[in-house]
Amino acid sequence: MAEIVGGFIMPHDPLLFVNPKKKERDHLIGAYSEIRDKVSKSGATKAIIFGADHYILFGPRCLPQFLIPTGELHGPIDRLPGVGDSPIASDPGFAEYLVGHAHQSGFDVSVARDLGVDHAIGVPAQLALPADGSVKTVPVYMASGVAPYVRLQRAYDFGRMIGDAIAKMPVDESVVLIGSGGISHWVGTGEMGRINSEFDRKVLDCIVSGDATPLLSMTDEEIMREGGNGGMEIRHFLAVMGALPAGRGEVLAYEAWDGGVTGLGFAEILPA
Amino acid sequence: MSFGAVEQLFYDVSTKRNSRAAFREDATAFAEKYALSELERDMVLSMNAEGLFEYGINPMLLMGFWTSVNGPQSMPDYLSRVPTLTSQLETVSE
Repeated sequence: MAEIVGGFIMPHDPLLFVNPKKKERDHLIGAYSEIRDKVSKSGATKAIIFGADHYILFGPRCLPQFLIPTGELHGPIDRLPGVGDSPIASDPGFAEYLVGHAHQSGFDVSVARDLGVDHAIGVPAQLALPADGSVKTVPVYMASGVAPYVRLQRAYDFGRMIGDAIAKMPVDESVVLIGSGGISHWVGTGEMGRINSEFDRKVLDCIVSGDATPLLSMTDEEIMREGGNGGMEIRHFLAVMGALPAGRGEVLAYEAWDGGVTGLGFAEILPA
Repeated sequence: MSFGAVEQLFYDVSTKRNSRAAFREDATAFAEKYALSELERDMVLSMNAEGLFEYGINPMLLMGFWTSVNGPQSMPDYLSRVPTLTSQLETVSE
């Protein structure tokens, strides 16, 4: 029987890798390594990474609410210093199982038969999972970067559905879940560069307590005001929380890093 | 209103090398391939970041278009022109 052995949240801020202001960042890059060690020690065989497209993969002619790639993977296609566009170990059978379970459960997810992922998936896949390909990845793209946005409750429920899918797998697998996203950040707006630590702490407090209610009760307008358009990515955290209900968390690192534009939070969520 | 055509043009310029080169070489001719209104064409060709933002173009895409055309070193110029998200939210809620 398959089980979820852990959940994580982590950022994918490109500026952390470009580092245009040449700021100290080793401790933040090190947080990815810390998570990679935890994933290795967990015995994980599969990873599901929830992320958003940044208007890089999906254009105005087709904007999926949920999309699961079911073929080979590589990325990030938007190469970053230290994070090249490399193959990502995939598992088409597992991906297709998740798609099938989603469709049976009321989530009509889209699929991509072949996909180069962007940094939302590529950064955690390349930096937080073992480099030997022993952990096979299935990405889940959610509409968190381009409107119409997935509803917060729907993101949480999607995570619950994923948890159910894993529990019903007839084979022994150990799965880790990753919610990829910055906390507060404004992308392409006049506020860009602002980081709202208060909002970030509120989000992290929910992850630590295992209580998603305060996040689910927020409106999109509140998130936009307090966390920016980039803050909409908390949907990915909610998906992990939905799959690990009442799972309490621990913050591994947090910083309103002045080398970038994003509240950078790294946390672990343990199954209840 | 052909809002989607504006975003498609921006998406093409941001993600496709050939489109980026074509826009840089002759923006007017490139824009002719898209069903833009006169107002939209004017905003695109004049790189009117403020107007395009207020028109509702996704800011992430707008920023990507701007830097694709003007280079990443032009970000301070872009940010000096583009309105705040807060101002847009206040306009919507009025």
